[in-house]
Amino acid sequence: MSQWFWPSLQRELRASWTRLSLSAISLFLATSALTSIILTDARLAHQTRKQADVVLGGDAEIYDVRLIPETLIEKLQSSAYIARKTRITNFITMMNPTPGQRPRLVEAVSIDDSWPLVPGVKLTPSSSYEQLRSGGIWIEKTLASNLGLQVQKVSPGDELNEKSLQKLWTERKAVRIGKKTYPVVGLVENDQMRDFASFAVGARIYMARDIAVKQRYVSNQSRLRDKFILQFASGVSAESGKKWLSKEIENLGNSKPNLRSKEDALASAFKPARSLFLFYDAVGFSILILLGLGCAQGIHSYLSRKHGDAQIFTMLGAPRTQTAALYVGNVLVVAIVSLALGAWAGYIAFEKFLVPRLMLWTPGLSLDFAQSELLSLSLRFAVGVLILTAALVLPGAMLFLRRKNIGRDNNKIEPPGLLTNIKTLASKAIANLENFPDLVWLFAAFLLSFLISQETLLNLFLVLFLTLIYLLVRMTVRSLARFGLSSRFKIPLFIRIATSEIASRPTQSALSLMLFTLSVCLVVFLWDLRSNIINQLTGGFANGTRPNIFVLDSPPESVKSVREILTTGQAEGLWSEKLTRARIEEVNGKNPDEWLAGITSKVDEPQRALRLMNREQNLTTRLEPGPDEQIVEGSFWSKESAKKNLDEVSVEAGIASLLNLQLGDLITFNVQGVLVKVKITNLRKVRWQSFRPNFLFVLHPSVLNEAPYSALVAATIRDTQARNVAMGQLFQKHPGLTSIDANEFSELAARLVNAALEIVRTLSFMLFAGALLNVCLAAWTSFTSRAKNFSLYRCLGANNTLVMSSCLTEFLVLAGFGCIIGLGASWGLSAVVEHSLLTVDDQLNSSLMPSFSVGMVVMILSTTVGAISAILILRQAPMRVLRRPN
Amino acid sequence: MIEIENVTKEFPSPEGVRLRILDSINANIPLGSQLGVVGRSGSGKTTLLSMLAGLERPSSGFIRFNGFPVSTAGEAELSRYRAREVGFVYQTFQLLKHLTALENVQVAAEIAAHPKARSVAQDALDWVGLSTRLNHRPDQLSGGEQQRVAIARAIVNKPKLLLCDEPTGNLDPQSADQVFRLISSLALELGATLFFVTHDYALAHQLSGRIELERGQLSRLQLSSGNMS
Repeated sequence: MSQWFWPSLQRELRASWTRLSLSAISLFLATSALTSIILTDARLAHQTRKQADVVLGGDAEIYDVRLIPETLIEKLQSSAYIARKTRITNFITMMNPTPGQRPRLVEAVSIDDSWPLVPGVKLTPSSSYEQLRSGGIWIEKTLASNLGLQVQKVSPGDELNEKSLQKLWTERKAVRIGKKTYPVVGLVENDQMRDFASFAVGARIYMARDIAVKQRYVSNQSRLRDKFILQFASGVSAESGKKWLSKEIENLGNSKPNLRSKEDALASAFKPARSLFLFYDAVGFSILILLGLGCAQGIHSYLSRKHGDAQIFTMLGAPRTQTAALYVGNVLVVAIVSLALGAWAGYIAFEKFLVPRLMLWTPGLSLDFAQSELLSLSLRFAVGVLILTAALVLPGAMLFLRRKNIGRDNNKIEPPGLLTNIKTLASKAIANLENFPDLVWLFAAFLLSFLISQETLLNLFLVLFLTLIYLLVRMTVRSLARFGLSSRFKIPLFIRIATSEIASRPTQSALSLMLFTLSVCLVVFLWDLRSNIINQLTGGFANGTRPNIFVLDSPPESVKSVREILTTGQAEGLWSEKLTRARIEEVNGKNPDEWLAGITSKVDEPQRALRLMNREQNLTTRLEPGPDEQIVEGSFWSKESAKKNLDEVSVEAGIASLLNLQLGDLITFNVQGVLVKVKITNLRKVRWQSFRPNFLFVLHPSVLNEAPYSALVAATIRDTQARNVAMGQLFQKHPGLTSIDANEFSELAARLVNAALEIVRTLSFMLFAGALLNVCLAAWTSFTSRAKNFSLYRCLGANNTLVMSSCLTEFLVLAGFGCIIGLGASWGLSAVVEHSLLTVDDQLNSSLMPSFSVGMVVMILSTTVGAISAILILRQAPMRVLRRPN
Repeated sequence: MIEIENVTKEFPSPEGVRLRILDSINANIPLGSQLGVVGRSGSGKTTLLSMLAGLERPSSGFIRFNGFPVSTAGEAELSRYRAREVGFVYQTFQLLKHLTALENVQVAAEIAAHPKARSVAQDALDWVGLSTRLNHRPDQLSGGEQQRVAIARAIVNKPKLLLCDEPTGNLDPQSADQVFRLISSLALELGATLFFVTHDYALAHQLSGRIELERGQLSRLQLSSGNMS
């Protein structure tokens, strides 16, 4: 076989090197994209699994805003389903870090003896749980630094009496809670991503649970959060464990705590990031399609030319295997080399380019795949390569099959019947596949999409979306025939020649149009996304309006002083909101449990509704909606109503939907023992991404006139030094207040967004490169046919201007329709993304500028390709072109 | 008069050597002549036709058609010349596959900016006996019919120079004879000068004159004032 195979391959490569090399480049890029997407996906999945362990230590967690019922705890103790468990209870207490100063409010965590089941918490120095049981506490590192607290080394067995503890407190090595003093035995450093993901920025001190219980810190008081982290016994699957827990919780009656699995935790913790990854998958998939279409077209064009060669081979007596080898063998060799190079390049691009940027926001992201993960990754890639190769060889195989059909004995009469009809139809359908290499590729890409993303709905949506575009493109090409040379409309000749050229090569024209369409659609979509959604994710910190200092629970008398400190500290934005704590007592005369029981079937997330209904609410009063609020239903009371008594409340639209609240409903709040009944008069949409103080319930000022309140003060101070000075002054003058420098979280978010932007930039670059390459490929594959037609026109007397203008018009018409369909598609895509995929609150602001700019670039590129094509045609002698074989 | 003065055409070969396709051709041909152009493959017949149509320029020498300097005219003038004065018929018909017979002929009239392109195209197809096949596409026509469409396209602008590059090469003897007679009679009717490239010496002898090329050189030029023998 090698006697003729290698010489044949050499001849083929020499004869068709341009077509094959362009196809190879396309394939190379497609494989690179596939490799990097699969690697990114695997890496992210790996990383998010790790993060899930950080966010949620075990396999599941049970949590509630009240203490978890004893009956359930007893079940957990005795169940064979549970191997390990730990109880974590968050509560609020007053801590005094320094003698002579007022105590400050602090969020504490009590942990039991199974700690540390939850990883992601670093302790300095390494300390044991026994030290907590001996009466020590761990304190959050930043807080310790701000308060000037130091660690006291306490060995297990050391007995500290009141006097020595008093000394430690004076030396700032201990803190006082109530009348009890606790030595600081360790500093806790939380994983920042965990804090960012769960917004658990308040947890500052850690103590042993039995001490917290003994001292009565843990009780059903406000702002409590009780949690059990559970690890299932070996042999218990996550699914069956969760099922058992759900059943046990269901049996509890009304006081049901919440259940969350690792997957649930992932979904909520990584919502913003997950959206970006989904988007990345989607765009990566589309790029794959784009490059693949060009590749399939190139290979198809090459193989079509081989049709005649194969006939000659057959006439010369070549066996079928040899002819098949001519078709498929050469393509396979080129494909394998391109796939190998593409996989290598994809790996380099990913490892050297994407990962270092992703590392910016996920410091723990390292190359530590388990053997099983590597095996799974390799298998996925192998399947991907198999699908890619099959998609490449399929059009050729179809050509071969059709040739075989042509050579069949046509005189053989098949008996009529259903089976014969089906066979004939199937044979025709398969043989006709050669005319739709793009459809073959689309199907291959659909299969590939499952390797990239497990989101079946997203994949189906993408395939549906691309198929719709494909059909629209095919229809457009077909419709253009009406304006060709056979047209009876009075259209200038050069336009008619151009449209006639488009219609004369429907497959190639459809491919070019598809390329223009997808390029425009994706680039405009990326641009929109870059300028809209990502800006929303940043929450406006790009323009410095996002607050980075929060002072919580400030008493009314301190507000003026706090504001002064922040104003002196060069605050660019300053917000101060009254904050009154209350619980919902009744909704329309029903207590919360009764109300929830009545709406369970009407709401999507009953567990979340339950949690929200039972938790303590932060109420505020306003005379007009805030800058991040938009009234979506009803009307907000006016400024002029300041002196009136209006028992009205404005509810955030999402919460209203969750709790099935409507305009006119009555809510009774329990404000420190006083019942306040208000009527819902409007619903608001809140832009939470602004990170400015916003509230679920806003009441008319007259309602809470008499109610006790604290204040939430927020400010934006961009300069690090000024911020540190302001924070220092706040600690000095108001040691009892909780002040948070949220800048590290802002920076974390900024790094996340920057990583996303890097990905978007990379994808845009790949998109442009791929589209340009494929437009050139499409122009090249149709060049012979175009050159023949235009040579004929020249022989008939067409001048250079007519040839040039027709060529340019052909590409401009394709680019123009590509822009129109692409822009429509991008707007459609944006709408879908806006409403379902990314779940952003605001609408996308599609400006005309990106569309115009992208349209201009596409037009310029198409004009260039058209002009080059025309120049090449004009340089050839028409008679010689016409005498060339087809 | 068609004046061909010392025309030479050279092409660079892949080996870098310049190949001389036509070598110092000289001929003065009266308008309205009907000439058979014969010679072996590669003797320069198609190149001569290309230069007569102004599609290629001689490496040296001069061609003039009825006073029009074909070899030196600008591209725009040459396009106009080809559209109005020249008609082409090819061995492989060169019809646009996606157009009907009528549209294929109409294109030539439109390129020549004929105000009634459709009507003259119909007339031309009528001349060649295809008035009933106006809306058929090339793949629905026989070889002879396709060539007649190509002839209709060549004569639609009533050219003064009819260049036929082996138009009977792909046809059976009977169709070839019909096509030959059709072309020569139409050329006569139009008063056009006919260059009819063929490998069939018998056909060539039926025309009034003959040009024989051998290795790029004019080995024989026979002109006659008569028409068909």
